[in-house]
Amino acid sequence: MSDPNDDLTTQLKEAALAAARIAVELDPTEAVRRGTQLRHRARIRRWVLSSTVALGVVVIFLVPLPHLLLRHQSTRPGVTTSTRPGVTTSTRPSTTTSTNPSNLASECASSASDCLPYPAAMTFADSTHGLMLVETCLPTVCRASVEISSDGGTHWQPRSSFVSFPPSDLVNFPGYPDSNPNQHGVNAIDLADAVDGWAYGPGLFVTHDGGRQFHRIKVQASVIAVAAAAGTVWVLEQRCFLKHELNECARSVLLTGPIGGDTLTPVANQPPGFPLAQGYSPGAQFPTVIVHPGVDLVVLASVSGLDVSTDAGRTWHQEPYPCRSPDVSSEGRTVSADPSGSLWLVCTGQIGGGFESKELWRSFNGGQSWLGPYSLPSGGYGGVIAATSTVAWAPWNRAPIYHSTDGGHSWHPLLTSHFNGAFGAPAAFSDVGSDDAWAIDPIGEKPFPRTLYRTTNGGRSWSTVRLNA
Amino acid sequence: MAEGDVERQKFERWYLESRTALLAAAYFYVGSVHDAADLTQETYARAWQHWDQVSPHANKEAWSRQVLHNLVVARWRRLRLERSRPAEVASATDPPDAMHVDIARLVARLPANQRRALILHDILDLRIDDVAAEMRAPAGTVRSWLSRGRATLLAQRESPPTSVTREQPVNE
Repeated sequence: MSDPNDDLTTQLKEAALAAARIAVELDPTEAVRRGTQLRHRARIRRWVLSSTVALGVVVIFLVPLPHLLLRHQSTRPGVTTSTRPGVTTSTRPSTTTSTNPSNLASECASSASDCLPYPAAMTFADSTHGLMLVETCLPTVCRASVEISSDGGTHWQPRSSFVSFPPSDLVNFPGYPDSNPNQHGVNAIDLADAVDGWAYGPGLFVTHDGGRQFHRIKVQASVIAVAAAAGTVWVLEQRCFLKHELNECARSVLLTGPIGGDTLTPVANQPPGFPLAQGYSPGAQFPTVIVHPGVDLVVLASVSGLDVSTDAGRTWHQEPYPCRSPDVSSEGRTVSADPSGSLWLVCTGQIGGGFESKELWRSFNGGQSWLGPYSLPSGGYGGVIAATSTVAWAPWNRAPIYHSTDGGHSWHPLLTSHFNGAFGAPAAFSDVGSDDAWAIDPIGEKPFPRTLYRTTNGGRSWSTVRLNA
Repeated sequence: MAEGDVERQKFERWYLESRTALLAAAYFYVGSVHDAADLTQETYARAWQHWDQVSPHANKEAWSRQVLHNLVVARWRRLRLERSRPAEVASATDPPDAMHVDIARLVARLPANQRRALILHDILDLRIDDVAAEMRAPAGTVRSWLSRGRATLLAQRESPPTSVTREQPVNE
């Protein structure tokens, strides 16, 4: 029997081909004519703008009003100046809202299936305490809330939503031209322990009571990565903008602060970073942050290489990747670390259709040297989640969950009856230690109940928890 | 040959090579072949306007897809302001055939991020991390959008909605 997802893809492609037949009627001459017209208009606009500015300067210097304008600005309501140099804060009330779940339910009662809560991310601090980040979207607004488990995922207690944000904030990277400049969206969650955790990307929220309450931490740009260990949290923020309809990004800034606190300050000696390719799509180039307390190792892993500190962020050096095979020479790079501090690098190439070539490399000295490559099964793009120096999980798209217990030398498929489709992938995955792991099937069976699968024996058997739809 | 003529030839070559894919993407964004053609032409006009920046770009196709998406956003906002969102997404078209229109309508009904992810991945064959890059989203989020979009499409294909089809907002 054919896979309905394959049928769907075929139908989509046939429709696209049929529609694209009209492409032969498209003529570049018309585009050139219109483009030239746009250039002329832009020149005229620039000329008018510069003339207006020049005229304004003349008027300001001729008319003795500057001091009056300054006085007016200083008494403008709603704006105060921070005592911290270079920082201006607004007294405008935060748009962070708290919504009773029942209100949301009544809003959703009149909406479509998209109003179903979606498990966007999941994290477990230990084998019992877990948080699930849930997004519920109406056409014009999304709300983020968490569900809390204190029994290893068997039962989940929903909490009120702690933030609402426009659907454009469902992305956790900055620079989208229509995104909210004061972004609140959250798409990832991380628990440092059973008490302290963060929901982030592009906004930043913190909890100090195991997820019962979240409050916002003010940052200067969009948060793209958070990592915590040994009493310290590391936050990477970055701002991007459009220029000539191309996306450009300012240098990312690494912040740090104590776990349990709400204060973040920029690291004095910032990592050098790798330049982002100028262009449209910085998202995949943003580094992730990896920290390991035992050796004071802090790693920023980007597509181009590693920024490494072995002294808790005081000094930095850069390490290249070893990926050499032509199949994986210029594609994705995903780096993770296990609790022992060894790095797991997955170099990915594109063959097509989501079944990329992959190489696995291991480093036990912060990227100075690498062992490998070890082969990985084919499957969708993704890295590995390392539980120990020998045990790792690989929850990819278009593949079952793969599991290795020998340091990545061999991989075994798990949950093949649930994540074996052309497109299936867990909506969220979390692991603790070598034996405990949780995976959420976002679709399940009709009418799409979310289903959580849990193993406590390294994937040999799984229990099923039906989550409320 | 003058430098301007060389650039014009480069632009036209790129145009002819890439127009089919861009038009297909536009079609699934707006559900109308003619609107898709207009948006495609406008995208190429923007490319010619900024050709000195676009020409050396390593991935002009990605640039054009991003500009197309921005134009789709602007179009949707304009339609909303005019309070004249089309009651039938594909009604003003001469569609390829009924089955294709049906699937285009269903795609046009998807929430914005799910639709965009589906277009980039399933129709234009971009891999997940490229889709993630274009959408400024982590790969996991893109996967979730794809899962949700496909689930909705499969469900609606089996039991089509009877309500009037409305074009969904685009990242609004």
